[in-house]
Amino acid sequence: MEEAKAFIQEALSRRRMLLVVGNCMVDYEGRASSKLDWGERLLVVKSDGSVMVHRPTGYEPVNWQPPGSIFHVEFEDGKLKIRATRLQPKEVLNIFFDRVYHVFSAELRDEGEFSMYVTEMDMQKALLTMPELVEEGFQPLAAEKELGESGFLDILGQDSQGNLVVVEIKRNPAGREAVLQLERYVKTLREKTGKQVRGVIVAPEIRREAQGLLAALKLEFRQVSPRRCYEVLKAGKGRKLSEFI
Amino acid sequence: MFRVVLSDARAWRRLLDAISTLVEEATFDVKPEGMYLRAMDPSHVAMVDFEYEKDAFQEFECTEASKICVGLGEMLKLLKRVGSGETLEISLDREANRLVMKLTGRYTRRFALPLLQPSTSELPTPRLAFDARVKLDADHLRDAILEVSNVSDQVRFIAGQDKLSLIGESETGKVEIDFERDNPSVYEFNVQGEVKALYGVGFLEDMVKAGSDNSKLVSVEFSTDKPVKLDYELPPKGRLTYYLAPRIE
Repeated sequence: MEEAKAFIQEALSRRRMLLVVGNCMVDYEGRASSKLDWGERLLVVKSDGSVMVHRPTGYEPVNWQPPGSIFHVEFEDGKLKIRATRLQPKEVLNIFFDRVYHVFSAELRDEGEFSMYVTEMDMQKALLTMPELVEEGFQPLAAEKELGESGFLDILGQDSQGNLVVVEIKRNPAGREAVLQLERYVKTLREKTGKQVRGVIVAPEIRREAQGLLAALKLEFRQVSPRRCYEVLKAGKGRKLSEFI
Repeated sequence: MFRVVLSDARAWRRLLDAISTLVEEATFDVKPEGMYLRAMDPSHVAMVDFEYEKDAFQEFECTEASKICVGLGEMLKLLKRVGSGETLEISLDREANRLVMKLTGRYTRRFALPLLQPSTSELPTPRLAFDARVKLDADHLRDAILEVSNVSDQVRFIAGQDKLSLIGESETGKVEIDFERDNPSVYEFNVQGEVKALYGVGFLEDMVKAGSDNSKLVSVEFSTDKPVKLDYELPPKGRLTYYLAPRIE
């Protein structure tokens, strides 16, 4: 156990990924409180300080802490105690091991991009299938509409008030680039039609540095994840019987 | 004046079951010619059309057309213990605003349940043209849909010159069922060109189960990306028809 303690301390202080398999008990105190009685489990601490306690079954951890936890390792009543603290809000996870079967640590490199094979085209298709993903009452009028030198609009539609809405789709978190691109479309369309035109970025996320610009230009952001689009495309669109009779 | 007698109370219960797959409250149109009901489920994806003509009843008295609305859940609960060979008499107690059911068989039971406010919406008869019409054993269609439901929440109907195929596919597997034109359980086969459509399994499951409980044969009619119609005959003088809107990809 002394050895295990040294190993765990070393791994945590070097921010290595850590796996501990053993017999443990878990106490959680924070926004709620819980106690998990003794049992054999897998503890995972990732390099960013995320903590997960996994039981032998199920894909979700039974106890966890988000990234950025602070660790403290010590012996208490002959048990090895790992404390993971989250400061804001204050949450404390205490994991007590009386037996440790395996410890393992590693420094993993992973720069691969996760892709669900949902392209921007797929997202566009999903939004056309289910326009309410943009907003309630949104009606698409055209997709891939050419707008002179400004380029192609992903989707042009109108809102429930009859305003024109330009939708710019990004499958990755949208940055300043995307906001500026949308602004060009909106401006061109405003000049062309002389009407009120809204601009909406649809993306899984908007980057922090783009948020101010978005607000300043009075453009809008709708959070839509590629996963949601994938589900929409997979399910296909349910039709109403009333459309046919 | 409204009073009917059904010689087989159990059969009536099965019919109510079939209607209750889509709606909780049933508004029956009672006319001197028979009892009718047409209702759409709350999500407007499916519809049931029910006809039970005068001659289907052992006794039928209806002097003027009216609407009778009852809660199906309550009515089914009261009929839960209906035995075989029991007859059911249904009449109205207008004063108390109640529907009265009298079961006669092992002994006599009388139930009354409140009449509800009938729905006033009149649904039109769906005017649909079908490119595929296949009549087959109701049990076989039920089994096929249940098999597809093991792997998928939607089922593709494909009809061609020599067979009707039902296909379900997902990560958990693929189920493919063929009803060949010359199969003995296929009684009619009339298909123009290739016809394909996709439907949600959820509603279909309920429909084919209830349908096969009430009838031996079903005719399946559909067109590409259009609703499917499942038509169950209720001999001697009745009909239970379901319509289900397609899904599109």
